[in-house]
Amino acid sequence: MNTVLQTKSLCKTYIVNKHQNNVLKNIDLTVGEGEMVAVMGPSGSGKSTLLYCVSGMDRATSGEVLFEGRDTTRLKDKELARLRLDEMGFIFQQMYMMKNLSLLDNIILPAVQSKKSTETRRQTEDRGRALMKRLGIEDVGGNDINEASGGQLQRACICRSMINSPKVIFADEPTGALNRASSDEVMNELLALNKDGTTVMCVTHDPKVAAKCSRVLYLVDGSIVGEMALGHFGGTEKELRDRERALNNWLMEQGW
Amino acid sequence: MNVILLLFVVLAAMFAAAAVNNIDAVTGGVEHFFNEAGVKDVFVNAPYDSQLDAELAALPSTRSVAIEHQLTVLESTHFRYEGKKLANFTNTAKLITAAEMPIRYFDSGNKVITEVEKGGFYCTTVFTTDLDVNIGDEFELTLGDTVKTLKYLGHFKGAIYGTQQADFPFLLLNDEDFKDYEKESASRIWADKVIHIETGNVQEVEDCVDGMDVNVSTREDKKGLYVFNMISAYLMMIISVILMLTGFVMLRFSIAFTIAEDFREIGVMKAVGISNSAIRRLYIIKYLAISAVGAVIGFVCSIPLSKSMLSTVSENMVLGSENGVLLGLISCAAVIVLIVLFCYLCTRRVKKLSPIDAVRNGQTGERFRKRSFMHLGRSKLPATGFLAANDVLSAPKQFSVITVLFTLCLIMMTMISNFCESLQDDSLSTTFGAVKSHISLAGLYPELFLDQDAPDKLIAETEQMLRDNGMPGKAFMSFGAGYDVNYNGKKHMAIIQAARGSLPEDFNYLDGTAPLKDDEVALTGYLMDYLGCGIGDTVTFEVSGEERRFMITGQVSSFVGDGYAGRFYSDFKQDIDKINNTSGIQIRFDGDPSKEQIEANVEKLREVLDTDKVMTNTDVVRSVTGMYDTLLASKRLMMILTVIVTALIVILIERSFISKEKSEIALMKAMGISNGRIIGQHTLRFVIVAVIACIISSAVILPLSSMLLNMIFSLIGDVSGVPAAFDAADIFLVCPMTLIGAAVIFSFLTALYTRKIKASDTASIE
Repeated sequence: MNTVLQTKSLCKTYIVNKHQNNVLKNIDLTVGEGEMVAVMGPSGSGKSTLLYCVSGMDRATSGEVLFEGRDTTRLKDKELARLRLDEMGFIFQQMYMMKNLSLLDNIILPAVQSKKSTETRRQTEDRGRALMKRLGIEDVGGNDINEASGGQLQRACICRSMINSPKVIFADEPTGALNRASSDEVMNELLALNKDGTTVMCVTHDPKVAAKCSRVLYLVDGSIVGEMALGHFGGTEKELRDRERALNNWLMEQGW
Repeated sequence: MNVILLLFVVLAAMFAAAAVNNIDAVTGGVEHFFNEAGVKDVFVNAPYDSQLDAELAALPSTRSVAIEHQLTVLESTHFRYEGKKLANFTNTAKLITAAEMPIRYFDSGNKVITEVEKGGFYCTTVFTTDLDVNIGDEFELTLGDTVKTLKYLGHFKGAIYGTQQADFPFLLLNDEDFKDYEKESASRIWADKVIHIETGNVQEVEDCVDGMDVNVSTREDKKGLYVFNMISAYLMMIISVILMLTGFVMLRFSIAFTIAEDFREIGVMKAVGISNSAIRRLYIIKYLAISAVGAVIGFVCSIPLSKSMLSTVSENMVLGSENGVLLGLISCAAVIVLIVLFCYLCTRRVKKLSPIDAVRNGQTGERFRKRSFMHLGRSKLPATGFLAANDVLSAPKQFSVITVLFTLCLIMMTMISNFCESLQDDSLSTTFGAVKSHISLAGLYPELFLDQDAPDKLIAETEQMLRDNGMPGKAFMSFGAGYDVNYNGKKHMAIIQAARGSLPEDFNYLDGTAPLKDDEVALTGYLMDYLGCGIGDTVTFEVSGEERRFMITGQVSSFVGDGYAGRFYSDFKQDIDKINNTSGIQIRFDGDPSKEQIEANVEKLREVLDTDKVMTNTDVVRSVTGMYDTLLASKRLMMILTVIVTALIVILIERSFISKEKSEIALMKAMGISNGRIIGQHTLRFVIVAVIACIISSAVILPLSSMLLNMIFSLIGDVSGVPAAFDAADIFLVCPMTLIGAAVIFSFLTALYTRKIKASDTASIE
């Protein structure tokens, strides 16, 4: 399995009112191609910060972040932006969308902005529609964002994250703002993506979500204190219950 | 956002206070100036050695009498500057002494002049026309055998003869210097003794001097000297009103924006059970505090703004508002009331919303608005261009406000440019009574006052001279006389002109036809309205001792006589005792000479006639209105002001946008959209709006300028139907590019702030 992401002695420090707050402390992490990694931990443990530093949305204070062997900490802002646009996808807890665009336009915006693609605007739009169809929201493509439900919006966000066929999708509490049914639907889509070969790294508080991932990292006070390999999820209810039980036991051991 | 709102309040209060002060200063303009200068009620121009002042002082109603002797310098060529003879003014110059000063004279800084140092002089602005002089520069004045080098001390404002329109330069000298020139007989030709009389009965003075060889004018007559100064002053007033509107539009935008920002907070307050009235009270108190602080700062800032605006149009006047401070405070108080009112109206929506609506719809309530009809997938625009255009179309109300602001800014610039062009436009010459022509020979032509056949002789001589010099053409001579026009017992003094050599079609008539016979006359609307007569009626007045009847055939436009004027047919024999006005000799060359040919002819005629008083028609109009240079200076000030206002609008609004769109900017960055594209999108939005403003402004500026120009003209004369002249390059290229350039530069610089928003801020946004 090829390594897609790797961090070496990754540190992130915030200085607030002259007080130094070490949010991430010497994180060494490796994520292989096709993996689906969940990052768990108590509030304030640095889960989201880790995700943002690894994805290049935030700069690390020290250490290295290697994306397919390239140290992203040395990249300029513009290069980092291009890397995020072309090689990464993002899903947030809140379904952030451009308010003045329809759902479909929101989805295809990264593709239109990307210089990687040589396709016409019409082809991009068709691809956006195909993605929406795949996620079951093709009927709301022309809608305003306030005309869609939370679940539809989050699925639209997944479509947007997929539009440039990224190598890795970063998801920060992707189901945090959804009800159970919508949450399951969204996770199933992420699993399907992962099955197709896209690496997924997701921050979650929900053991049910983490149980569907192939590996779970547990963060406390900016350090990875535990790691549990679950293997790829087959998709049956029974398997999910077994994985959930095992994970819950492990989390209890970690002090969850 | 509150800081931004505070800045908007400062601007609105500043513009409002300055505008109100300017309006008060302009509308009371000449009266204020005359009061400050202590101008008296009647002026009698008597011969230099006349003893009439004693007689006038003895009149029962006379309260005080003061005299001022005026020496004459017949030609500008008596002066030398930097070794060259002056050729920059047309009429005779007058020398007066600081020892007399019957009224208060002011320097350029509006300080009263109390003395003039020996060897120095102050002058009215006409004297330095077209000269690049500095205080301390030396001029040489030769009169007879007296040659003196006089040091220029600056301009002075003399209320009764201080304007360009009067076109007689006045020099205020030290008494010793004045006395040296007084000894020269050359200085005594046409020299005057002006008697200033303070009286409760003007008629008594007029009766006293009746039949004497003196000229009487009243304080009201003297106000007529400032008509063209008032054009620029009224223009400044219009600009002030536009600025005030700009301030209020900005304020409305900002308050709506700021309150929308607080929507979520309002929702939370409602959710915890705070009543609508308590929420509204809270916001009203908050905005009251902001507006009070802003209004105080704005009031202080308005003082230098108003001063600098007025100074550009008060070169010859002391403009000021006696109630400036009070009016400024009232307008700032009005700004506070308006803000509280805006706030009250904007918070009305609080009542309609449930707590959940307010909370769920986020901090801006933005999701209520509809996106535009544009579709990214179907658009041919580049992504950045699409996003910018889509933003503008998605929030039409918001961007309309900015468009209105930009349009107002552009109108400020272009209108003053149009006024500048209009006040030097050839077509205006007919409203002063001159015939449309190529050039003019300016001068007083004293023979007009002596010989009724003088105009015909002068015209014949001029045409012969033109033929002799190989530039054949037709000459015209326009001159007017003052008559007491009578209709059904109602009388009004009017200056009625006749243009010898002209054809009826040389002048425009607003109604009716040109007078074609000896007993016909065309009058202005003002005069007809005053007398209560109309076209077809017959008026009477005395011409050369004979009471004559004239039928009114048409209505003319005229600046002459404050709009109380008229026109005879071309060969009418004027009463030479009543002639008081001439436009010199106008020349229309045969064929259709080019501009270069006309200029070459002007040069040649200057050599042939050995005078600098040969002028193109544009120069004549410029010289008569005398406001071109002032308006040019105002235009420059306006361009600077527009750039500053545009910059403030753009900076504050873009800063508001960034604050409001922080989540979207962070999201775009998280998606991998570069800083450059985000900055480009933000800059482009302002460019789109600026371009729309340019289109709107271009469409409305000509009719608007014409309308306002004629409104102002109608205030100072009876002139209407004059189309505004324009410089196409100026109003369709230079001014729009200035606005667009300012919008691009300042929106770009402000949009650079988006770089501070990080992709990871997406997580910390509500």
